[in-house]
Amino acid sequence: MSSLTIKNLNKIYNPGKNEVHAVKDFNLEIEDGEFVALLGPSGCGKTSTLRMIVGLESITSGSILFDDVEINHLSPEQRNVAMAFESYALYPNFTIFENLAFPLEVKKNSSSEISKKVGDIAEMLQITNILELKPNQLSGGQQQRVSLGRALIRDPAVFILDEVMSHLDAHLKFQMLFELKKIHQTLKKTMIYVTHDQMEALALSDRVAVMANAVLQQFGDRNDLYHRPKNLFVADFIGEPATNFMKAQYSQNSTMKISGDLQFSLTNEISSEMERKQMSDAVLGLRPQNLSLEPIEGGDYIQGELVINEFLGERSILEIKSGETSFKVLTDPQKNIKKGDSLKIYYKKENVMIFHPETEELIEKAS
Amino acid sequence: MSKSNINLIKFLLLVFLFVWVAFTLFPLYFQLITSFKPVREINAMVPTFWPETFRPSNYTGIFADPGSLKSLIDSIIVSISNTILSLFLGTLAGYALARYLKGAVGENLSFWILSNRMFPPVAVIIPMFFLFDATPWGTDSYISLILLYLVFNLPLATWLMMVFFRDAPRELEEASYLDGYTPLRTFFRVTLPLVFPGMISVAMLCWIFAWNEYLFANLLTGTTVKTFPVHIPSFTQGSQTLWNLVMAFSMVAMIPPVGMFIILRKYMVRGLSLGVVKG
Amino acid sequence: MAQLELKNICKGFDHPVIDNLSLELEKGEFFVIVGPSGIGKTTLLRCIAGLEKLDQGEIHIEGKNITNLPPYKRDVAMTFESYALYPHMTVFQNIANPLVAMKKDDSFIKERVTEISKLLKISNLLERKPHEISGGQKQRTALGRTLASEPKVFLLDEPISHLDAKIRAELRSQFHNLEALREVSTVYVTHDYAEALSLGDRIGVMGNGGLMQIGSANEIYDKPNSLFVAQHLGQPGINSFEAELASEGDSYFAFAGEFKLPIAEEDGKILMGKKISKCHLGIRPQYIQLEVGSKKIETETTVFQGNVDVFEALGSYGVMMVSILGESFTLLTDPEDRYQHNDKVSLKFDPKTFHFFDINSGQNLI
Repeated sequence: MSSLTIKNLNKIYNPGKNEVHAVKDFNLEIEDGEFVALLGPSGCGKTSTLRMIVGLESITSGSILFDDVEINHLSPEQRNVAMAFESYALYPNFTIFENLAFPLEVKKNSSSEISKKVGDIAEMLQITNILELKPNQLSGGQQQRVSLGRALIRDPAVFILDEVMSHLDAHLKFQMLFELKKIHQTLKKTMIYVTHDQMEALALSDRVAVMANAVLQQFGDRNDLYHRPKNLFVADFIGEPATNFMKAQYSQNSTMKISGDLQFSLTNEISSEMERKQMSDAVLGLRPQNLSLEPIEGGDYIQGELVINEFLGERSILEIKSGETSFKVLTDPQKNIKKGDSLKIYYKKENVMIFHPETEELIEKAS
Repeated sequence: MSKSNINLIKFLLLVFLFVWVAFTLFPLYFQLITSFKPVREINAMVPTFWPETFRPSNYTGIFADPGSLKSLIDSIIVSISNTILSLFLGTLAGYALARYLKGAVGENLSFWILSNRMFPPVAVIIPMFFLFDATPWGTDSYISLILLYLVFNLPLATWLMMVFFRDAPRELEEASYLDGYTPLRTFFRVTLPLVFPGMISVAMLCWIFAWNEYLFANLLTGTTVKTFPVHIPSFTQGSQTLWNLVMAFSMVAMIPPVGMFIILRKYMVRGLSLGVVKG
Repeated sequence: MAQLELKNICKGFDHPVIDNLSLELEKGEFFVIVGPSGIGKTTLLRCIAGLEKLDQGEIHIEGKNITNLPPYKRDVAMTFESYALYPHMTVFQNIANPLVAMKKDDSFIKERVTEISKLLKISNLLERKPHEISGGQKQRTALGRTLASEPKVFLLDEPISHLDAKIRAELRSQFHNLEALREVSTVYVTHDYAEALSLGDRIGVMGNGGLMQIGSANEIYDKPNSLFVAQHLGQPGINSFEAELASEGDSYFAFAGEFKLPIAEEDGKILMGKKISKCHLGIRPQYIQLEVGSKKIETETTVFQGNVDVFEALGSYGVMMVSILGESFTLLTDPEDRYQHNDKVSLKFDPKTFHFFDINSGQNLI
């Protein structure tokens, strides 16, 4: 295992007339044994970054270092990186044992060594009982595990997982998340997980690097991304259901006016920061899970009308309307309210996020 | 692998490629230069690799015989007709095999159809002669060649179109049914556009085979109908074969197929890869 | 008169997929069929569409028997899971296709397509081809084509399954708001139970070749008629374990090894009355509470101590797996909590939320 440092990484495809700047000045420092997610919508640059780390794509400028040694010029097999693919890529004519043994045979390990290593990996992934089967006889989840096993068996310095869950149904995904987490806890390898699903990224990793439009937006742990998103994009991308956004005007006595009677209170820190910046218009963001039908100690409330009560089993998502503005509230299932009811929605001012209307950056208290 | 090793291998590869290209293109080159040579030069003991004298008049010379132009036209008639017929029948048969004949029956039938292509056409020459001789239009007619060339073009067209149809997503046809179209209208509106590039490449392959065919043409025809391969032997005066005229004529005969290839090149590539790449 | 009626339909390939399934949908109903992948939901839709022939049974639409009609003569429209957009036609032409089949005139077609594309927010894409638009846009185009036909029954086959979570949530509201789907009747198929609960007027849980339970979202979630139904609605899945039932005086208990859990009196009376000694006990994760603070834990019969196996923060909630006396329970917690493997926690159970299922058939015993 090793630490991974990326310095000012750039990737430009087709330099010249039709050039595409896929990765812009990307900087990242991943610690030894850390589980990091590369998260972003399709086209954000995460796959290009990944391919440069593995060595499948040339680097336009910048450097990638494993344990402080620059590896830009090394070929993929020299870098000691292993990758598990979205499509499993299992050899259909080989048994599972042979699939797992393949990377070791290339390295010319002895057959007793191979048997032992395959046995260990199979045990860890709970696939010991299917070693003699062929890939087409396995379920999706089992194939997934074999694919992970084949990558892990090489004992790489860095282990990369490329959208490995996208083919799995919800049920299986849930199980795999736990298993992957366990694997990381057992092996303590440096792992990079690439995905467009923010739930997976937050569940699995220590820290998440959020990318959009070829640029790193924010690199932080769940707390950072949830409570202090750097900009509107991160606030919108992270969290399910999505953050409520409303256009707002700052008015004295620390309130943000939305429309009609609707207004939210701000903390003093944010308030003073806004006055210092002489801001009047802004975008207000509030997460549905930070709104509640139950009174919150030390919290304020706003009044609204219930439009939709979406029952989802373990929880309900309510759509509330206040004047012209609609927003969503995440609560426990509510059986006693119906469309048209007037409700008090509680919130804490600490959870109100304000974004600059042009730069879209989060307004935080001056440090 | 060290850098110098890589460079050595690259160099050797280049040399190999160069030799291969030279080997392949040389006959074409020689054909071209010979077509510009005068008679005396072609008979020289030591062949020359560049014409000492240029005789572009060879090209007009070949058309002094009205048979030359007629043979090119006959070839065009036969090739185009046969290609259209092969494509039409092959498309319909291929669709039926792809969509409606599943399981062992379909597999066996389609393989039997393909196996006809593996069959050496020359084995049926004699029975074919008698067969067409018995028809009202006789052996020496356009129809006999057009029908006869189906022997090798129809299995090819059927097999390839079957593969292309198999790869055309059935769901698109189903969506069309639900939009309100009958299977027949669906075939023309949805299915055919999907396999169109494939059809072009199948047409090209059928055309090439029909265009270059000599054996059957020579045996069955020669007077009423004379395709260009059959006309070539007429460039012999006594015991002297006028190779320069032969070469010039064959250069001209190359124009239609090569021209089509160049124009339809992008369809060829798309068509050939249609059967290969899935999803 | 029912808008759509399925009468005892059977369909199998090398094994039976749909076995004696019957269903009646009223006009204006949005019916969702939910079930695991491969159970036969798509086959059912294809039977209604006419893309599969029934082995047995009949299908009626607005009273008319359409069982033997080919798909292009039935008045149904379907959105395919893979969208099935015609690659050689523009978005406009794709949506217009059913109208062209009906031989409507050009101005009518233009008006209708414009109307639909505005509704689905794809009006700016009308001249593009399918390979030039994103997944979400393809989905809306496919939906637009289905809406254009103005059928008597709408069939939607997992229309948003292949899109990422954020876009799915957005598009879910589109189905809430599309009035057109509620003018006739709609059959919507999904494997995502949250989608089903959110969208369906009535929901059918599919399993074993048929619809195991049909009801409103609340009914099938809170009163599942079998263990199968209970397991398929909910993430994380319902906790279930085998338990033996016994009474001690006026109190009733469920036993699993050393684990002794009190059950509600009403339930206990019914179960004892039916002479049931063994059953599957089901408890949904959200009804297990984490007890914090220093209460007199030992005296509470519904509170138990256990060890944390795994804890995961999954977005807006946390999931914890705890072992208590050999049994493993999954529960929901606050995502802000921080628990490690082997931490000791106390869990409180609420007997009023328990479900009891027959040990063999899985039927709900209450």
